[in-house]
Amino acid sequence: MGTREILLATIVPGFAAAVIGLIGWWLLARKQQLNASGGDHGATSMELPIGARIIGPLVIAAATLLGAYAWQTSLEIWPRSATQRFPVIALAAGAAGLLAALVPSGLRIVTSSVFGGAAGAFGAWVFLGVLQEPIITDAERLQWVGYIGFRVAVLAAVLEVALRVLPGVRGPLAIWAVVGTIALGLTQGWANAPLVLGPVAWATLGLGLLGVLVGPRNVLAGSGTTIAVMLGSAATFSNWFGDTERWPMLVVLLDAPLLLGVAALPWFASRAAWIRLLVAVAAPLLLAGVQAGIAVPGLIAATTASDDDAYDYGY
Amino acid sequence: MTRMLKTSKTKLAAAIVLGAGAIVAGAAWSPAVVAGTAVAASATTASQPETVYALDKVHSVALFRVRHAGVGFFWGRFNAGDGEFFIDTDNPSNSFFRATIQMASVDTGNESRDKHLQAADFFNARQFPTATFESTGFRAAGGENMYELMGDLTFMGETKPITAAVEFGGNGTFRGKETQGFEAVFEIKRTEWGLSTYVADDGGEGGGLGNTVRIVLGVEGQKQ
Repeated sequence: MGTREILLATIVPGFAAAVIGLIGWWLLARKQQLNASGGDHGATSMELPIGARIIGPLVIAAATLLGAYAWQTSLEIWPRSATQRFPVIALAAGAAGLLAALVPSGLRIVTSSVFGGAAGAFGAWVFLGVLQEPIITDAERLQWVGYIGFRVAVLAAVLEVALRVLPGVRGPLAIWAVVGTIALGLTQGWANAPLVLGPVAWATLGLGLLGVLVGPRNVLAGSGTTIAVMLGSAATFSNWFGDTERWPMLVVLLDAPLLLGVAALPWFASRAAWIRLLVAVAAPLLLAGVQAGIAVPGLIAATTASDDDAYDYGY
Repeated sequence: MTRMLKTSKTKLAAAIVLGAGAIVAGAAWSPAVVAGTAVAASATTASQPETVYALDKVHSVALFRVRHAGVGFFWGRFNAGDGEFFIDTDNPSNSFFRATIQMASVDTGNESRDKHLQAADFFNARQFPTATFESTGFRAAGGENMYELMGDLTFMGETKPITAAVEFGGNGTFRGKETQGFEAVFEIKRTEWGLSTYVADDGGEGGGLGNTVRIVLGVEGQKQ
């Protein structure tokens, strides 16, 4: 993973997202929509107008395309190799998030589940469809596509709920930390996982600047769906296209972001937003962090190589 | 969304059919598992060849070499594959060679590296479990026992023509069976097959791993 890849997977998407977020804030401020009392109100945070809500899913999807270009050096919608199909996943994720962002918050859980689940199943099919027996049978493939679709549907709904109670910059911070840790955990099966999920994490962080500017509003409405699809697809790919399947890794890393929903429990409704942030990230970071702790040493084994079986996982 | 899914399903179904067809075509040639080597052979276009030599698993080898860090020459091998061939020195156009290599059998003397090579970052062996070669032509080249082997190399789902320099080892007997052997050498640019991991930005040899891969096949087989 060279300098170019790291820049295209982290700093560049984060910076671009921040700039786009600033432009969005400026446009909203000009139209004084930030002061409008209309629009939807979430459980604990106000919603942005529709025009601003679509920024998140589109920016995150675009950032993923950029990250894919970083390690693939080309972009095709339907390449032969499954390893290069993350662009089409990003488009599906962005579309699902966009649809979720367009609806009022009261309907978002349903739409995020439906569209997120469909996009998640599609993402699983994109990868599992190229594998043959004995790696996977047709029946197993169908089961796994359904399973991943279901997991992504649940995760999309949970993330949308969690982000609603983590207004302003808190939601982006939580997503950045958890998705980034999950990316490290997935390197156990796939060394380039940070190049796909890194843009998701850093673009979300960049949108946090918008969160700082607009106050207690949900700046990631709809983005939770996009993020859920990317997490489900990346986990599927990492599990099936490594040297072997690692079910514990897959389950742990799909369960970890679900724990962000803890912040939405009634016990924390009256707590300060920063308390809810800490509560939200503690369990996911712990769970994903354990997996990252298993994966990362293998990835950097040769930086302090001994004479025995020394392998620089870089190259 | 539904329309997109339907369209994507149609394209995906077509891609799966084509991909499955390629894999079946490659696997149909050789059910056995041997260290594969490329052999110069001329293709017979119409009928099944009368003379066939089966690859000797124990005495054949497939090696590859790639530049490392722009300075070193790193070698690895594949331990599993199979194939068949025949070299007709009297009439080279009758010669042929076809082989299948199991990508998961890559062996670089380091288990961690071998697993990495099999994974999505490199060979993507789960999607592309084999590499195959099918000869299309064979002719004499300059020098004694020197030939050129032309054929189609299918690697990571991509098929491209290659030409290998072949040195024919000769005809003999081994354990009572007629035996032939040869060595074939050719080079590929791995980026042409979609394998660009750690290649330098200019596509040359200066990156973590070079773009040019030299493949050396040592083949021996017994007449069937």
